[in-house]
Amino acid sequence: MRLRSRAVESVPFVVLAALICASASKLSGQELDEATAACLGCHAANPESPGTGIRTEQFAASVHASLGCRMCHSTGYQGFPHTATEEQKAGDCTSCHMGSGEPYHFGWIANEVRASIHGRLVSEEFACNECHDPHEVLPVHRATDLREAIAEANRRCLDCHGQEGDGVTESERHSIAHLVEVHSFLPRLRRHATSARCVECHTPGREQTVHLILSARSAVRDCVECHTADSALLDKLYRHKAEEDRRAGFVNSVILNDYYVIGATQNKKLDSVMWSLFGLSLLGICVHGVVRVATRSQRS
Amino acid sequence: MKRILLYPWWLRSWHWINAILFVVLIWTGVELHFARPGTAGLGFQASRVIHNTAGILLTFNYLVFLLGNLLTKNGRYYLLNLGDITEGMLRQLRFYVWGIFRGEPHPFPHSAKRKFNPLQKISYTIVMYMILPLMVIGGWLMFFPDKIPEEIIGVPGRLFYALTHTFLGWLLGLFMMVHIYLGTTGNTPTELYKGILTGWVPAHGESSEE
Repeated sequence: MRLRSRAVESVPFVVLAALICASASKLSGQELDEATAACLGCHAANPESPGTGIRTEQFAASVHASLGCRMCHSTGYQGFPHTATEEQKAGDCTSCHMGSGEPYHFGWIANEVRASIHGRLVSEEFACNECHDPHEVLPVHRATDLREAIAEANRRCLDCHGQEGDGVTESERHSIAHLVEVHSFLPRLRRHATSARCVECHTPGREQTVHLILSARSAVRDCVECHTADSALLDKLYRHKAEEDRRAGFVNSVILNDYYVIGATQNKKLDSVMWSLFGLSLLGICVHGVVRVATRSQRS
Repeated sequence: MKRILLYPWWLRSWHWINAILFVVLIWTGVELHFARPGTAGLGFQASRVIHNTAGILLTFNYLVFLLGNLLTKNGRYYLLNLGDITEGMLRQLRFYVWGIFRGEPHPFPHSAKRKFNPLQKISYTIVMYMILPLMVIGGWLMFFPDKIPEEIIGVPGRLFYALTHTFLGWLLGLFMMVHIYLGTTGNTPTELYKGILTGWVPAHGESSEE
């Protein structure tokens, strides 16, 4: 599941994916369900102790569920015991996702991951599944519960960056204590952490990317990036939702997200009416004052 | 001219502390609500801290006001006489839009029994006993967002309180602007300002003191 940059390298995978897709598409929906059920018979996680098994509920909700297991786990899984090699154990994400069509632009994503702090410091071939569990892929805008989707997105970061321990030094930067320490400038840290994803600030502001993870030093620290009418959140967390709602004729962020974000949530009608009232009152005061001054001599 | 002590020291202190806090809260509230990257001013972080601090101080100051009105005679000035309030408001309104330009005397001059004209009485009562408490309660609730119900009359709870807080903030800003101007409508432009600074105002009624 490594990201590959060169088109030549990806050709065999694209061909393979096309063949798999073609064979998979020959299965009816019912056959696909039965095949998946057969796999899950052994590979489903125990709800009491999930371990490395497939969490069936999350898998069913994921965008990959409809593909069936054999779409990615093909070679080496025809019989039992499986003969798949380590390389064959999982498919290559890019074998399906190498196109750069709307809305995901996987070609760009591959480049962004390579240029990210993970790509530069951890591995040039930082894999998709380091952060994304392919069995639970559910884009945030497709989630029915935004809070849960945010929690799930942040859990992926915390898997590495939220280690047990109370170390707060630079060398212990993956501990949860260090994480809390370096984010202490954020008021209501817990609320921030449950209302937005880490990537909102840890990727370049005002850009739609969430894969070009920056170094901590380069992370967005200016509150007003999000807490403003033209919030950077509209380019990231709410990008798809915002676009959908704009299509429906809504432009007000109050309606876009149903949350209240100071500075970002502005009711345009309320503000317009009140600005007008202010203007009219000021005008009235000025006119009244001028007439008082003009009639002063008459009164005296 | 005889004078009357209409604003005792505690009331003057309360009034000016309230005025300063109002200015600070409106200023920082505007900075928070209309935050823009790169805009000059106190900045978002500082505005947040100052707004929260001023809000807490305003709450204590409001308690001083309530306590003062309970323990002194000042509370009676806010009691509305619904029987003649409409007629009184119309008389005062007529004075502001007509009589004041013709040099007519104030229809409701200060006396020991009367500190406010009917328009003042009703607007101060609404502001001090309705808008400000709602503002303060809403502000405190936003310190504890987890305590706010998820939904209030079909609107997300936090959004409901935040919009109400913003709306009431607008109203109080509007009130303050008009209040500052009407402060110049005494017998001289500075008469009422001197009154709220020194406590003494010229007495035109029969029950004047000193």
